[in-house]
Amino acid sequence: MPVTPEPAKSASQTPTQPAVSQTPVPSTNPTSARSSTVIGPSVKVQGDIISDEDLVIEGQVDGTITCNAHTVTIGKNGKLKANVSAKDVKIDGSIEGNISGIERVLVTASGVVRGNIVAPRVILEDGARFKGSIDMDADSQIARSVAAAPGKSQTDVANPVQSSIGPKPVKDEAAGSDQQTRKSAS
Amino acid sequence: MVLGFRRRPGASQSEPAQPGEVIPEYFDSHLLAMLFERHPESHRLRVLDVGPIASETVSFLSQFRCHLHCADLYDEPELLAPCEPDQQAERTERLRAVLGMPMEEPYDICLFWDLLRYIDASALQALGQALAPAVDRQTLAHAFLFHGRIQPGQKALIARCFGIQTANRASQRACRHPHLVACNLPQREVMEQLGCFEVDKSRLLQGGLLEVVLQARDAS
Repeated sequence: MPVTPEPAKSASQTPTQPAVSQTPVPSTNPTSARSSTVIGPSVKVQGDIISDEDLVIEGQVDGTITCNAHTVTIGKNGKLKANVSAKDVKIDGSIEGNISGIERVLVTASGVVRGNIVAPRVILEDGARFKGSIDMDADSQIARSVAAAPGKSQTDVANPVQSSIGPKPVKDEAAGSDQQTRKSAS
Repeated sequence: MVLGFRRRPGASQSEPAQPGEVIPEYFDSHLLAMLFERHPESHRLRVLDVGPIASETVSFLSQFRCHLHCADLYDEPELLAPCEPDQQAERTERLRAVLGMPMEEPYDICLFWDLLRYIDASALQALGQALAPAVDRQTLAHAFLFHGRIQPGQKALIARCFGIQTANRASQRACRHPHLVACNLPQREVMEQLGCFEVDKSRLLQGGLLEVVLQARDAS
């Protein structure tokens, strides 16, 4: 089982429902069906979760979640007080904590986020509720700084390490017409 | 200001709205573009949005290297309500926390949207004092103020959620903060109480709304 509660201070579960279950996820490639682990709606986990496969959370998690090669989905019933680091993060439920997406963070219409998001691509759907900061030019340095800050408050990670990534293409015609900078002005 | 009903981007005319879906209206803005003109592509924009964040704002700003702080002050009624002078210092401190400070660098852009219409002189002072350390002469802000009187039956645009669709086009939709009551202080008083900004450009829109771009004042 790749999901490792470490250190799991306590975990409660109903006898009729497993704490975690592995569910094959339909794949477009029949030869490489991806599996995912589901934390059910009646499950509460306190501690850290490290996963090497997709993770779907419908229950409660207090702690940290690390799933850097796969997707973490916080289901509509999911309630997290946790810092999450994953390749992709999809939020249908609610989370209070910092989120680091190596590729993408998606907050759907039912999602509620209070915390900071660092990812190269952040999508908020209509109806999503968000309070905090978004760093949208994240490179791995910024992502690491957030991922390595478990338990830090919003203010603590409000000023991540400056990105060394090159300038992003600006698609809008209005931007970049004036080369005046804060430094040159001062 | 175009307030006509428009479909969301990409939706066909025949496509029905989803249940519960709040469809934004879009309108032209000649001032929003000013906020982004002075920064080179390599500059990492620091943007404060005081309102509930709109999906199109995130989408638009994702074109830039950007740090976006979403304060959603509309969801903090106790910070916006009138208060006694002896409570101002505490409120200012709380506002600073919500506004994402302390910061290494000042904000480049503050998006006030129509927040300044809903707060009284004491709240404007507290907001200005909280923001002052986070702005400098290069900081620009965008806001909607009100000019004139709301006529009976006139669409007052109370408590809207605004966003940026493009540099020349903004969005608005109904938002979920019905507790807001419009104060609509005159522009001059708003600027006096806020303190750290002055009007750079303004444009009168249909219905008495005044779209303004504000320039931060020198702290000295």
